Order: sequence, then C-alpha cells, then structure tokens
Amino acid sequence: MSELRVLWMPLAVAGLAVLVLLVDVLAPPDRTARTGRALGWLVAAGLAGALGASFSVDGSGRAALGTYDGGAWTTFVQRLVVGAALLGALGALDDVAARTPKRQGEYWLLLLASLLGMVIVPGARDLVLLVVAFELMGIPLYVLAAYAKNDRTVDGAQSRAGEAAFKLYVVGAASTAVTLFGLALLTGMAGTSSLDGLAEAPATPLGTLGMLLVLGGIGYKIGMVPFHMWVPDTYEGAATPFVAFLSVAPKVAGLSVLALLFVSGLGVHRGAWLPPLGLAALLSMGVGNLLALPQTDLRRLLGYSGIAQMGYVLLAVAAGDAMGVGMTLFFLAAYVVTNLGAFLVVHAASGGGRGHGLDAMHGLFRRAPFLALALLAFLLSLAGIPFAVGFWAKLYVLLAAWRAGLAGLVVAGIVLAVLGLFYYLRVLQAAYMIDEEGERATPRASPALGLAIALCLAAVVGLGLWPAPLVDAASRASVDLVHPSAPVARR
Amino acid sequence: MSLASCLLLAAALFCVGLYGLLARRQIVAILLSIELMANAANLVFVAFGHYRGGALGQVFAVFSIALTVAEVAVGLALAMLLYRRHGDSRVELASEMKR
Amino acid sequence: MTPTTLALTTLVAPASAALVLAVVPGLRSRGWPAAALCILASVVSLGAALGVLSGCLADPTPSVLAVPWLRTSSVTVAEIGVRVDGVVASMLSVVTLVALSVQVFSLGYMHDEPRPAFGRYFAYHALFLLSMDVLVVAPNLLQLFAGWELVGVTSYLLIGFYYRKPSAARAAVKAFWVTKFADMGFLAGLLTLFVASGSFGWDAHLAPGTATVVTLLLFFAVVGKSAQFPLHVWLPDAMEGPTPVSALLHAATMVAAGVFLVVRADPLFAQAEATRTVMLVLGAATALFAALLALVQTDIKKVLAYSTCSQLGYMVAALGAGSMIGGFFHLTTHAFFKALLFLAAGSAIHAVHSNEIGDMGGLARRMPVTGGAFVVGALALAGVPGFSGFFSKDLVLEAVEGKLASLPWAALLATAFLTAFYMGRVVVVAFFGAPTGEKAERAHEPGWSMRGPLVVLGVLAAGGGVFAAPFAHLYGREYHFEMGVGPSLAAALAIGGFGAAYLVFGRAKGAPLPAPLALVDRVAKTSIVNRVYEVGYRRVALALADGLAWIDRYIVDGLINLLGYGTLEAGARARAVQTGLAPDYVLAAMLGVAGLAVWAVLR
Repeated sequence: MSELRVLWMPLAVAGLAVLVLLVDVLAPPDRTARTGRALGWLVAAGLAGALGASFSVDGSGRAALGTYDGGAWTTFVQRLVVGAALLGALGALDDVAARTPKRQGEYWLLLLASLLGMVIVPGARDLVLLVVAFELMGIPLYVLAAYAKNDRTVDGAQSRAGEAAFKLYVVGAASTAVTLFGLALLTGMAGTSSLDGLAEAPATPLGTLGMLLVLGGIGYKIGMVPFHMWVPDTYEGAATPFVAFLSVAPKVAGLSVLALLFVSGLGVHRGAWLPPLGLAALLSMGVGNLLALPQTDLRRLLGYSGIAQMGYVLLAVAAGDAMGVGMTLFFLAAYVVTNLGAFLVVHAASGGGRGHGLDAMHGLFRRAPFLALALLAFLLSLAGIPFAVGFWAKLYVLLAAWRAGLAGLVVAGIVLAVLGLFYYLRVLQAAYMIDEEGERATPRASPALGLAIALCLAAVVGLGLWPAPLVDAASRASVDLVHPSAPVARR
Repeated sequence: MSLASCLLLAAALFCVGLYGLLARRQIVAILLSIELMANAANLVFVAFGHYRGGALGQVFAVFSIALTVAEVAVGLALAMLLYRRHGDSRVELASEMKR
Repeated sequence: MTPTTLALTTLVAPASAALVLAVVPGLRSRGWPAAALCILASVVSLGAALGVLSGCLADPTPSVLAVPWLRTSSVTVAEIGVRVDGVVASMLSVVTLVALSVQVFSLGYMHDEPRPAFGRYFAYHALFLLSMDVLVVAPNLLQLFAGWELVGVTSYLLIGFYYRKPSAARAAVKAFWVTKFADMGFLAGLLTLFVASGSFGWDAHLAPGTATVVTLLLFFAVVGKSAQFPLHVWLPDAMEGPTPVSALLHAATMVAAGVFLVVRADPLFAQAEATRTVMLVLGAATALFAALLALVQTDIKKVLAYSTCSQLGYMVAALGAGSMIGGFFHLTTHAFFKALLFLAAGSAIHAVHSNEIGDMGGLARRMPVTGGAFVVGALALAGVPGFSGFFSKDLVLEAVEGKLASLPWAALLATAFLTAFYMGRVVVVAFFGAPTGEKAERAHEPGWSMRGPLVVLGVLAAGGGVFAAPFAHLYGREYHFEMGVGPSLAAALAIGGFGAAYLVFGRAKGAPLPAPLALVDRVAKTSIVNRVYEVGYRRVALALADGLAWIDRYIVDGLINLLGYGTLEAGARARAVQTGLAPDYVLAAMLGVAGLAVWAVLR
C-alpha cells in the first residue's frame, strides 16, 4: 500500500489520462467540440490539483523493487514538469479547440502520456525504467508536433508542422538508437541496471564509452550542441502553444536525468565526462547566441536562445557538486516560466494573421500593453537583467561553476551572455519603439491564454524580487541526490 | 565466437545503419536504417546477456524492441503525412525550413 | 491589526493604485479615475498611518515585520519589510496627511490641465507616496536607500511635469543631477558601513574613525537632498514644477527625507561628534545664508524655496547639536506650515496668474481664506508665540545654545529675525495694501477643493504646538516648556521682524530697497554659487567630456562596431550550416557522438 503512496504522482497523471479518455469516448458525438473544451479545462484542473497535492502528499520511499524513488528530488522535478504542462495546457486550450474541434481529446491524451513519462523520469533509479519513461516522454511529442499539419500559414502556404515533426523524429529516433547502444554497453559491462549498482561498478573503457553515448542521447532532448539542429525548425513549424511546452518540459526532464546519472550515480567518473560536458556547454552558449543574432522569426530566435540557455545550465551540471545541482534546479524553474511565457506571448501576438516575425511585434506596446509588459519581463529574464528571475538563475549558475573551479567557462559564459542581450533587446525594440501604420488586427489573448501568460509573468516578477524560497527548495531537493562521499547503495 | 566479436558485429551494424540514415534519400529507407541501428543495440544487450549470464540482457532487449516498435510506428505515420503532402517521399521535400 | 500590518497598508495602498494606473488602459487618459484612485489610496494610507500613530502612543515599543531578501549561502545580509516605532509613526502621519491635502488641492489647481496630463499627474503622486512610505518604514539603511532613490526618480517626474517647457525640463534634470551626485555619498557610506559592521542596520557599534567616515558620507547625501549649502542650488529652480508639487516635495517630504535619514541613523551619528559639529556649523550657516537670499526674491515661490532651505538648516543644526527631538519636531511643524504656505501661494498664483509678488496686492480682502491661511503660515514659520513653529524653534534654539561659543545660536536667532522680516514683506506686499494691477483686482477665492486643505493645514500650523508633548512621549522623553530668556528673545525677534517689514514695505510701494537690502540684492543677483558651478561645469567638466566623447566615438565605439559587425557576420555565415535536410542534422549529431566515443576510448 505504501508503494502506491510513493507512486502517487505517476498514478495521478495516469488516472487523469484515463479519465480524459473515458470522457472523450463516452461523450455524445454531436457535442465533441464542447466536450473537447471541457476536457482541456479538466486537464488543467487535474494538473493544478496534482501540483497542489504535491505539497501535501509525502511520496518518499522506494517502490517497484527499488526502481522508483519518490523523494524530494523527484517531487521538485515533478512539480516543474506538471507546472509546465499546466501552463502549456492553458496556453493551448483555445488553439486546440480551434484547430481540430472534433479531436481535442487526442491532444490531451498525448500530452498527458508524455507528462507521465516526464514524472517518472526523475524518480527512476533503474536504467530500464529510465529509458522506458524517457521514450514515453518523447514519442507522444513527435505526434503532437505534427498537430498543426492542416494549417495554412500567413502567406497561404501549407503548414510545415509535418516537416517539423519529421525532423524532431529523425534526430530523436537516431538518438534513441545511440542511447540504447550506450546503455547496452554500460549495463553489460557493469552487470546491473540499477543506478546504485552502477555507481559501485569500476570504470571500464567500454563502460565509459557507453556512458558518453548516453550523454549524446540525452543531449538531443535538451537541445545541446551538436544535437541541437532540429530545434529551430521544429519550433518554427509546430504549433506555437505546443512549442511553448516543448521548449521547457523535456529539457527539465533531460537535465534532471543528466544530473542524476552523472552527478549522483556516476560522480566518481567525473574526470571522464567533465571535458565533453564543458565543451558542449561552451559550444551551446556560442552557437545558440551566435545563430540567434540574424533571426527574424521569433520562434527560431527563441529556439536558438533556448540552446544558449542550456549551455548556461550545463555549467551548473558540470560543477558536479550539491550547489551545482541545486542551482540547476533553480535555473530550470526560472527557465520554465520565462520561456513558456515568452512563447505564449509570441503566440498571442501572432493572432489575426500577424505572423511570427519581428514585425509582428511592431506597436505592441500600444495595441496590447499587457502583452508587451509580459514580453518585457520574459525577455529581461532571459537576458539575465535584474530583477527578473533569470538574473538570479544566471548568477547562481555562474557562481556554482565558479566555485567548482570552472573559471574559464564562467568567463566565456558571461561574454556570450552579452551577445544574448543584443537579440533580446532587438525584440523589445520592435515591440516598444517601432509603431506600425495600417490596421492589422490587435493581438488578443483568450482567457485561458491570458491566464497562462499572467501566471508566468507573476512568477517571473515575483521570483525575481524574492528568489530565496525557491533557492532553498532547490537546495533541499538536491541534497537528496548528491552523496558527499562514495556512493552508498540504498536499501 | 567471443564477446568481442559480437560487439564488433554490433558496431558494424550500427555503422551500416548510420550510413543508410545519412545517405539514403527516401524517407522509408531512413526509417529502416534507424531500425538497423536500434537492432545493433539489441544485439549488444543479448550478447552481454549471453556471455555474462543473468536475465538483464534479455530483459533489456525485450524492452528495447518494444520501444523501437512504438517509435517506428510513429515514424511511419509521419512518413505517410509527408507522402500525402508532397506525393513523393524524398527527404529533400521535407527541408523547407532552414538556416 | 498590528502596527506593522497597518504600516504595510500604507505601502500597499499607493502601490496598488500605481500598478492599476500603470496597467489598466484608459484610466489615466480620462483623468478623473486616476485622481479618484490616487486620492482613495492616500485616504487609506492616512487612516492606516493614524492607526499606527495611535498604536505607538499607547505602546511605543518598536516592532519589525521583515523578510530576508539578500542572502549569501544561508547568511541573511539584508531584509525588506516594515519597522514601526515612534519616529516612523509620526513621519508616516505627516507624510500621508500632507500628501492627501496636496492631492485634494490639486483637484482644483490642476483642473485646467488636459485630461491625460491630469491623469499622469495623479499617477506620479501615487508613485511618490509609495516611494516615501518605503523610505519611512525601512527597517534598515539599504531599504531606506532604495526608497531614497525612488523618491528621487518620482520627484524628477513631478518637477518636470510641464516637460514641454524647457526651463522646467532643465530644472528637473538639475534637481536629479545634484541629488544623484550627493547620493554617491549615501552609497559609499552604506558600503563602508557594511564592510565595517556586516549589516545595513543603524545600531552598529563602530570605531570612532569609521563612524565619522560613514556619517560624513551619509551627511553628504543629506546636504544634497535637503538642499543645504553648497548643494542648495536645485531647490529654487525646482519651483518650475506645479505649486502643489512644491508643497509636497519641498516642504514636507522629499527634502525632509534627508533630515529623516539623520534622525533614523541617530545611533550612528551619536558615535561621531565630528560629523555633528560639521552639521551644526553647516546648518546654521545655511539657515542664515538662505534667509538673506529669501529677502530679495520677487517670485513668491522662490521666497518659500529659500525659506525651506533656511528651515532645513535649522533642523540640521539641531541634529548637529545632538537633539533628535528638536530637529524632528521642527520637521513636523515645518511640514504643516510650509505646505500651507505653498498651497496658499498656489491659490494666489492661480488667482492672479503670476508668481511675482509685485503683481499681487490686497489679496487678503479679496481672498480671505487664502490670505488668512498665508498669514497663519507666516506667523507659524516666523515663530510667533502660540503657533506651532514657536515651540519647535524653541526646541532647536534650546539645543543649539551654548555649543561652539553660541555662535550658531546667534546665527539662528538672527535668522529668526530675518525669517519674520522676509515673510512679513511678502504678507504686506502681496496680501495687504492696494492691488497692483487688474489681475490682482479681479482675484477671487478658489473652490472648496483648494480651500479645504488650506483650512486643515492652517489649523495644524496654528495649533501644532500641542503635539509637542505627545511627540516627546513617543521617544520616551518629557516635554516641558517655560517662557525663559531664550524663547522670549526669539518671540521678540519674530514680532520685531514683522514690525520692521511693515515699516519698510508697508509704506511706499515700489520704493527702492533700503541700503542693506540693496547690497544683499546685488550679491544675490550675482548668484555666485551658481556661477561657480557653471564655470566648473562648462570649462572643466564639458571639456573633459568632449575629450572623452572623441575617444568614445572613434576608438571605443569603433572597436565595438567592429566586434558587433564581426559577430553578426559570423552569425549570418554560420546559419548556412542549418541546411534544412534532416539527415544532415543527424550527421552533425553523430559527429558529436563520434567525438565522444573517440574521447572515451582515448581516456
């Protein structure tokens, strides 16, 4: 019975999915449009409930023969992904209802399925469970990316969602194969698939090779260089509310896996994985910032910006100690609200045929001051300007890396972050300083979308003014993970 | 036959699959190549299982097969989508977004 | 409600008003909703402040409600929140009361402004009240500094309200610039304090040398904010702002913030006798100097501006003499009667459409409430017995007496005479006698929104003396008053000053100034202090700036442009890597994998 308590979050998400399925199947066929909308609100309410419950239900302990752990680390990451899903659901509600009124249930089911994978991932302490959950997270995302397949874009061309999904898929499937290969080598050499067992196993060349291959596989999910090339195309082609979710949630799950595998389970092998990780971080910051500069499509711009942000957070992972892991969590939390909000604002501003280019932002301050204000907060947070939460996130990440001795990377990070300022401010310039002639439609956010944006804005500003509680929570969650001495197998 | 030669075979399979992924122009061929790469991994699982003993290798291989199947199903659906869009399934047709 | 939650309310109310006015479209452009919201917030604030005050009178123990804000690895460096004690309670009440009076007055005074400007004005007022409250309730010097800076910004917005007028824009910039310059002292002082004591609180024990350094630096900021010599130059220019703004900022609140800082950080200043001596000397000197300048002004607002400088000098001197109560009580009474004077002046200005006293005359008969208010304010300012200013000035004089061979005391007494004299001049020339033109003849009393605050403040200015005892009680002291030598002398000087003014100015209108005054006038017209700043600014600072600008434009900018161009080019070229073909993406990924594999094998 206590096993059920430990597994409460995955069970809750699965239960919500079943509920959605039942409602969708049993609803009268002539009311599918209304039912679909109701389903969307149901999902949002269920996720909100799960999020709230995570603060009172204590799921600590092991379950499923020790392969799942429900402690503080797991709970923190679960809250992040559930929160991201909640915001993504609110943001996508009207979009889904407008696009495919008769098949909304599918969207919600796929979203919840992916979420199920995401809530299991941080708790997985066995590689089999981990890879299954990881794939469970990824496969529905391929389908969801293609959701807008029947759209027409601004200039009448057909939607490129199919292409977006295809690129996501091809790189993803190849990475899965790589990951599986690496896992095979790793578990084969170590003789066990449990993470605790792996920590105790000696380092062998093949095992190290396996581990690094796994790094490659995870790197794809988080958009790390050189596994990043799908990011701008997928962000451009898929439906923007979905991209908002895609740009944050898998990254949270992927980075939590990275931290889990490399800092806790295999921390003793730090000498092996630090240089590639550091190089990947450096390249991500460089490539992301550099290639964002010439972008005029906001979705691609935010895509490259996300790659750069991943570079920053990898610095904290590379630090390899408790503070590094804690600051990774804090950064991820800040990143979720910031990036999701930014994409939702882009989506809101693109309504009525305005498109997603920089010129869609012209005159935003006048036509939709609330959206412009939210955009300001999110971009300042991404750029790392006080006092949005992104400032604290960057600061703490750089501090953690500095403390761990990665001085060169920190300096590079600061320099490259300055580049970021340029393209973020260019968007703000378009929104605040350039006005447009002509009468294009005023951007408007529906209630659900507006609510999601408002929640993100409140979080960015609130946490920016008062980050202390979140920092504390992240530190507490990471203590759970990092063993100060040689890893001890848990009983 | 030793463990080493099994692993080498798996590596060779992986590379063949990789080559196919990179060189072929038809989407279905690309999907086949991905399958090949995944099966190379399965071979490694099974090889270790055989030479090390224990059930882990087999178990993992079964899971791996199941995951790959799910993935390929989605991949085929996406291939269908692109085929319906363009009337052909060459990968160049799915490269409108760039830079 | 606990005192701290009430104090928090004084913050939340104007903050909410300001936020709503900033975000909700249409409120400001329509004008009256902004005014309503702002005044509502001020009423709530005032109620809460009075609640805090009554709570403190009953129980003066301080209480703090704060949360940790700045942390470094589990050590809390600074908190933000509210602190309630006697000082806070009285200051909050004064600030909110005067703010509300000014805002109500503005309803009538700014009535002719276009609606969007009207709305903008009240939005600024809400922001200002918020800033001032943040400053007053600060539990440590860091938050006080934050409020200080916010006050600076909002006062810039208010002074420069008529931003289309070049002189107004310049005045706002000058005010901002001078106070910002002085704020460097605050920042330096804060940092020194932190390095020496590890926190931003004012109850630290410092080594005498350190205490002197810290307090001197803080006092430098006070010199700027409270317009003491030589950083007083911005205050007369700041009269370009709307008169109600002058009443609020330059009578009661913003300039008083400097004095408030010294009161607040009293434990620090108590450890630095040297700084106190400096304050005593500078305060007395400023008081005298400013009073002389006030004598020769023809613009009624400028008279009041220099008068404010002078009275602030009184407060600074009292604090320098060690009497926190003296300085602070005078701040309180000054807030009431100076605001009253400014508002009454505003009413007069509004009636005759001119700031010059030469354009007024005989207003008392035509505008009895305004005239009465101004006279009451003048009597209180001069320290005529019975009015509030008399009691507060007495406390100041009492504190200063005997220090430094009583020279400051003598200076302040002389100033008292001059104060009565120049105020008497204004009263006589502007409000009595015959009107000097048809504008003055047609002057009439303004509406109730402008008269109401005059009455309220008038009562407080006249009868504020009764507050002395409870005031002292808030600080655990006893107050007793006796009509001894000092007070009698001061009273005589005050009455004498009015008499002299009547004699000199009441008789011949338009007669040339008597000799001593003419001399002062000549000196004042050279405005030597402003000249010094101007030369320094033009010759030295601008020349330096030109040189640096050349370096900046051609060398630094050139370098940056090169870097920027290079980066953009790199970005544009690098884009080509994204070919759009999915297999190419996988290739890149696999190259990465290969790299990892090679690395793994090599290790």
